[in-house]
Amino acid sequence: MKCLLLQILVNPESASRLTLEEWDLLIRQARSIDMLARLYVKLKNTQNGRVALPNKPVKHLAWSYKVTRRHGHAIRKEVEGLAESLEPLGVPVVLLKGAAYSYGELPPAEGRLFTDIDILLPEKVLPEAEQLLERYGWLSVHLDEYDQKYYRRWMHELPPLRHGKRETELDVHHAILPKTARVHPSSELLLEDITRFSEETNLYRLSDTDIILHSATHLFFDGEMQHGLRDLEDIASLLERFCTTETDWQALLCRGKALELSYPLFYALHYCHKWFKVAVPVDILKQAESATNASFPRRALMLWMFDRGLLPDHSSCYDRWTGLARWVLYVRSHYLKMPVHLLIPHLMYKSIWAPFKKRLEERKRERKPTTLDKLLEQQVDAKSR
Amino acid sequence: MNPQTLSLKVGPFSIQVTSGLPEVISGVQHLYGHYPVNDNAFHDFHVTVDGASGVRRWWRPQANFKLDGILPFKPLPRTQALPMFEWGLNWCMTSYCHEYLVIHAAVVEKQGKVLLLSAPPGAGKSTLCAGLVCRGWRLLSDELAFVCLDGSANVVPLARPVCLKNRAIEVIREFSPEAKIGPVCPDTAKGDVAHMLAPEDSVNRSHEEAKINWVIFPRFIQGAVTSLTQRTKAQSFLNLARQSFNFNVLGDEGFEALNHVITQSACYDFQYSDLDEAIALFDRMAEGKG
Repeated sequence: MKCLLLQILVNPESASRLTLEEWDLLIRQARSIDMLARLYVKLKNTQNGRVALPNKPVKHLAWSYKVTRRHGHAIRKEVEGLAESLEPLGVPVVLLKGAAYSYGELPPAEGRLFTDIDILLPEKVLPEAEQLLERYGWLSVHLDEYDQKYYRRWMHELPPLRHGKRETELDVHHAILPKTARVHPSSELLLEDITRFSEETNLYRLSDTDIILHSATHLFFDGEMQHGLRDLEDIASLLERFCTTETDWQALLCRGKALELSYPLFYALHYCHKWFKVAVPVDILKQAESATNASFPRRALMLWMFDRGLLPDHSSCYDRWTGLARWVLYVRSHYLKMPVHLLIPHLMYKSIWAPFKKRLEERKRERKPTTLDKLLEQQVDAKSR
Repeated sequence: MNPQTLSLKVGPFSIQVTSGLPEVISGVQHLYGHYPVNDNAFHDFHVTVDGASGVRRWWRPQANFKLDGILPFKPLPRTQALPMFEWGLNWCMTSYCHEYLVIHAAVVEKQGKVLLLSAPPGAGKSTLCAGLVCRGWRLLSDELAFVCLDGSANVVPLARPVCLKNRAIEVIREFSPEAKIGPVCPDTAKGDVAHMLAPEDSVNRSHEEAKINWVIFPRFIQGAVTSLTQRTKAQSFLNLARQSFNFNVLGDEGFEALNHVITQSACYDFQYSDLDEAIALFDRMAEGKG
């Protein structure tokens, strides 16, 4: 395997033997996939200052680590504020993905940058939640009518929100996959089994098994794999924390079946085992594989694509098929989210009608003054002409 | 043209730049010809400036700046490829380097006395900086001041070409006919832009940190009398914090570093209309007669 970053993540001790040239490549690969800070954490934990690593490359890791630390503080503040804003709903506020890792100080959190906050709420409280959030400054990013309808009708979340002042992005989900996706992990099942962070807050996370399944779903089902290796490492670190006994592994498989997520679970286990050397028992891997019900050629094809798509998107990790594999994975991510009869009109709208409409509206706006100032300005212009 | 690669050391950074555009390669060679080459295998940033692909290669050609495959900006017209390299380098440094408090400011030094000049765009900061540098002040920064976090109020030199905009290009040409100024690039987002080369002495002394003595907020006002008026420390602190790129990333560290700068320096508003007068004033200050 050509990916130096993966080698060092799995075996951080070997960093002491790298040449400066290899460090150069390592930093570039890690930067391309936002793992500089994560790499810093791995090296810090294993080297313990015993071996002096070269100063210049390690600085890049430390700088990035600073950013993630600040980010962690900001996320904490933000989610605590959210819990308060949503208190009138009287339902648990469930943090998903990065926010959950960060707030619960779970293994993937340290040295990880999260761009937005994701929460899960029961679908029936969403209208009220939206009103409450608006009152606290969370505004819709997409103002276009089509986008609004699209999210509300087909997606598993409200149209994305952004805080007017702090610009934090917030996704409010009622499910972990779109309504149009091929499988429908039951949100009731997920919400029945949530874990509270502490007695003092109304903040929760998914259960140990579900948090792994959600992470796997996100990576192997609906993601575009821009940060494949990073997301896979998240799962590996969660598996190492939450799956230590035979019972844990069985529970994970069982839950995967109940939530219709055996498919992403198999690929997650396969790659965590193969690439990150997570000790997944052989029989568990076999059971996970047979639970996917995928034919051998199909599985082989998927593995062929993931082998490439999961590596950092950096020129040093490409082979001649990487471009094709990434493109197919991109198309696939859309196809999995939406059946073709919905996807094609959607893409047509996005690529043809939406830009046309935007142009049309811009023209209209140019003609029609929107404020008194502009109206006056236009009159002055007309006179001077 | 086959892509060409140059490797150089700029202040604390080593940069590798690759470009298939001859004007970029020759431009970088012109602006950075007197900088040391990087003598080892590690580069902080691998950047490329290349022509855009597809129709944009021929029709209204565009250029792209990339940090090792990452595209931070939308493409610009190809005529702006060289300034794009400069702006791209700024972006690399401010986005990734958090070893220092990075402030949008010019820094110059004479006889061990250091001026930090901070002003909004168009206020005449770069012109003043270029003028001082043409009169023998050492250039430590034109746009990005790297302030140490160790409480020393020291600035780490980053002597890069000084970015002159619009009328400032002519002003400096007249003021100092021997100043070396690169090609003028018209009609950028900032207007006409040209870069004045950093003096050789400033480049050679890139390892010598220097402690800030004065924090100056300059303003060019047509016809104004050269004058220096005290600005409160609290106000100056807030101004510099707002001009910092990573104050929020650094948190306490950044606050402390800025606190050291402000408490150990005298802070002034400065207005001027005559560059010679302005420089004479700072020269006197550096000699301890101001």
